[in-house]
Amino acid sequence: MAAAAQSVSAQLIQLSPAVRDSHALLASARQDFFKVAFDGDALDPKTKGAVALTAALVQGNEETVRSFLAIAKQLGLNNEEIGQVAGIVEALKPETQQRPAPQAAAAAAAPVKKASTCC
Amino acid sequence: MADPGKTVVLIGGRAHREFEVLHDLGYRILYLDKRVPLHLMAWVDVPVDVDTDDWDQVAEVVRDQLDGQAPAAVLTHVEPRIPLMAHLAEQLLPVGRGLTTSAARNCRDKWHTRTVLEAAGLPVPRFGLAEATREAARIARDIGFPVVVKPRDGAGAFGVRRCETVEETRIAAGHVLDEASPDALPGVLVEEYLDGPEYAVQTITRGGKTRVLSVFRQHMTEPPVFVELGYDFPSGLAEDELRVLELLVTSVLDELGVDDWVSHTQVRLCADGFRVVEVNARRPGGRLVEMTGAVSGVDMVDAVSRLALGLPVEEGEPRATLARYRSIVFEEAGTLLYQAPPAGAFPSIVEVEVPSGDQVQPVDHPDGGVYGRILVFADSVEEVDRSERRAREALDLRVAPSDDLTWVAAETREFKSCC
Repeated sequence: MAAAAQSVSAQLIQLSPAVRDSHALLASARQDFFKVAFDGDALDPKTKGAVALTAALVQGNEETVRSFLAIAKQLGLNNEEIGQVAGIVEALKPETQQRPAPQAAAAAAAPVKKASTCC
Repeated sequence: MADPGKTVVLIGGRAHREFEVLHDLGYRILYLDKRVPLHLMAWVDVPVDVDTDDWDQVAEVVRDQLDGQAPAAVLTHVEPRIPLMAHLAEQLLPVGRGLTTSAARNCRDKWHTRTVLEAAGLPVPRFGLAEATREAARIARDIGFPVVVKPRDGAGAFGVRRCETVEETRIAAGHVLDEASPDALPGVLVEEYLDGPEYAVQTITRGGKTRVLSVFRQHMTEPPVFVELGYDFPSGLAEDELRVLELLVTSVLDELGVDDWVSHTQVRLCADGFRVVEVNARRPGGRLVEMTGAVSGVDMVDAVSRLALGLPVEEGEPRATLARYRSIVFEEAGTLLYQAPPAGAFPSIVEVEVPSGDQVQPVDHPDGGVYGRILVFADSVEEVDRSERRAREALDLRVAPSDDLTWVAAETREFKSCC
């Protein structure tokens, strides 16, 4: 998996040696945790791939999605299965939950506002 | 990965057709590249990021993904990856097929190409290999000006420059040497400038027999840089010239060891006959695959995929007797404005690679070059002229000069007053 670019705060942490050293310990612990979470065998590989892809899609970072999409495919997910994973993520997004079906239909039936002609 | 025997290892490449062909043939794709783009993930079955300059690592990834079993084929359409493809095919396939490692090297390394062909008595420009600018200048003086300076393993016309003087040669050679990537072949080629029309020759070779699929007359900008302005079919060569050209290219491919593969060879017709400029062991770039398909009935992407798989090559019927390819280039810098034609509006290919409103540069500018193409097919000159004219009228390409404006990107939307 390609290494993600450091966040601005992660870069600024380097300015304080004590904070930097503690952060390095945290980073190492996170890597160990990642390995334990991923290597566990309660889930079969394909399900693990689907779950990881789901988390990446929810997080929304394009590079993370790219990396875990590749891993999902390496673990056996095909396009249709990936499409369903993405569909579930999209269906459960907060904006969708705030617009139940009847209100969405009413909004669709309302007169269309003309686009502004300014600028 | 399921069913390694029905899996093709595909190295690099971004054209959808290259993936579609393999799936249409019923194969799965294990795709390798330094960084697999997101949009391409849906086109492949298993994508893997791997350093394609590390051949051992690539081989290890393939063995790991296929559980040590052989794939159905190893394939690439990307020029710099051809030697890796040949190497992997020899390592992984139980039976030799397609391009060999020596043929791949013979074509990829332009200095080696010239050395092999010269030794066989085949016509190439006078040439020399320099490791430093001073040496490049000496070679140029020995050959006589003008000369052409080019990378030893470049693709297309990148880094290629015609030089009239020692100073120009030093500068051009310096650029090639300084800007070479770490994995580039060492040195810079200095060779005789061949004065004469250039032709692109597309072939397929099977069992030692070469068939010329198409010969296109190539149009380039005036030196010092070489930008492809377009191609014409028929080439304008007389029948006897075409026969001589066919014999030459057949001999060249035979000498370089290209067999059970396709090629895209460039030659120039000089006062003393044809001379070989470049031999590429791959399908041509741009839309020359479509142009070749229209005039020969052979889809070179499909053909080379089948050759890699050891399958028979399908040959259809030509669908046009004339073809014209014109690159979309501009003479001045400015803002490009055009009408995007609806998909399927023309029985031809019309592509503009930048959106309307983008800045463009003149064709001979270092950041300029080709911004798209118009490719028309027909059975008469009148029809070709008409098709090209209709495409240009529909596009309505215009470049608005930006001499009086300094383009600055707004940092905020503070001054946008609407809604």
